[in-house]
Amino acid sequence: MELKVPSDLYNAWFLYPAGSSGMAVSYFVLNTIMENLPDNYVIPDPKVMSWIE
Amino acid sequence: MKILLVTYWWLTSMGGIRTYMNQLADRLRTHGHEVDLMGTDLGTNSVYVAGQNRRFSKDSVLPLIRQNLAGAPLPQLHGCPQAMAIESDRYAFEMGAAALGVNHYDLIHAQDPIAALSIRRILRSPIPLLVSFHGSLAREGYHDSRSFHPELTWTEFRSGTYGKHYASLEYLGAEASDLILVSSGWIKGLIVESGIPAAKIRQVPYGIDIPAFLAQSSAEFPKAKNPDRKLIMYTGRLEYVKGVQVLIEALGLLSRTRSDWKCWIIGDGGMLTQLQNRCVELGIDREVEFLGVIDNIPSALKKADIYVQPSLQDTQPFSLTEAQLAGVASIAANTTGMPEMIQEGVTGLLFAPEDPASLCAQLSRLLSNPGERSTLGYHASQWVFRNRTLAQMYQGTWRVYQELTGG
Repeated sequence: MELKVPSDLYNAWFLYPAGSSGMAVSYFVLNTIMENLPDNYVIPDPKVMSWIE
Repeated sequence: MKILLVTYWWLTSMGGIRTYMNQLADRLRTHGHEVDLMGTDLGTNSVYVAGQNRRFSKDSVLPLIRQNLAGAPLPQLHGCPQAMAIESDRYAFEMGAAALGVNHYDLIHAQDPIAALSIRRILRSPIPLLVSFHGSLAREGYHDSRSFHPELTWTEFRSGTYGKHYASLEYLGAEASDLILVSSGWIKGLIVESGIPAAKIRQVPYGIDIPAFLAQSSAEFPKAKNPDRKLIMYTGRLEYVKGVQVLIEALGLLSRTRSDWKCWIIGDGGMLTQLQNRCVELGIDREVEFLGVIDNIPSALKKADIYVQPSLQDTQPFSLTEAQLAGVASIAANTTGMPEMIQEGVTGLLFAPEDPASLCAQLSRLLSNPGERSTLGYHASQWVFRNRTLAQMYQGTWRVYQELTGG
């Protein structure tokens, strides 16, 4: 399995990426998740946010 | 068929919902289907598949999710700790479910709207998705809030971020699903009221394992009851939404006019100390006993003369069905799903919700009328035998599965 660099993952998931400075992350775990999530997966969920923001 | 039963909540301690999932899974396996149960293990804060070595620690991604949410321009979310906690946690749930794998099932049956919404967000193909609404998330959140702020109105609650967030999860979970399964007309009405088409909803009542119940009830309950007093009983969680505080107040009123009763409260929960203290204040602490959690409710019910279900809200309480099956005369609050379980004066009695005086009057009525207690209890048990079998629940649910898969 090709391990992508963390910034690829943040850019893929988070609408407002803040990075991971100061925290330990498992690139293997994050890469495994990314390989299983659909391409259009985003955080936060825009539909829910449209109800409360 | 390969089927996933999945809940966002704790698979390890879900009470009636875990029982429902297990009973459904057992029946499906008996009919040759492969069934997995997925949920959260609260002890290790992980998403897991029961009975398998498949587990994902939410803690491996939660700090990352929280840091990114905290930096986002979302002032309402940041101002509501409950919504912030659920949002962070459900994204961790989504990542965990994705890592464990959900795309190889023929049908996914979510047990709550959060699970349904989460699963739809992570599916890579259009697998049929069914969601069960076992209760109302928003209204339970409202009653939880009322335990701290009793004067809070429903309108006030649902206009705040906490209420809007729960309402969004319920609506979007229903919208994301191909069909919706409910056990009561009350829940169906709430979903339709939120804007979901009624044509998308199927109603199948819960069943009870009658042979297992009768086998358990044949055991002698170890605690003796006072032969000179009638025994009033409640079984369930000691939480505000269950309305045990209403029962205690009603017993306080009852003690002013008669002393021919005792009450056993069976169960545990956050209100235990508060309820015990209130019994002392009302001078009924010798009449009301808190037995905690017990492992043989059917056996305990054999001791009861009257069962009370005082919930402020309940969809189709399993504890009331158990009391009915045991042939115990039952009194339930006339609200939400409970009146669908009791035909007033035929299979039980109803009282005005959150009204101790109304409950006290019904208790006094049944204490004075042993013949009516017997008749109500008998008719209730016959009604359960006819309408609440596991076979009926399975057949109804299977028809919905077939509708979804074209089987």
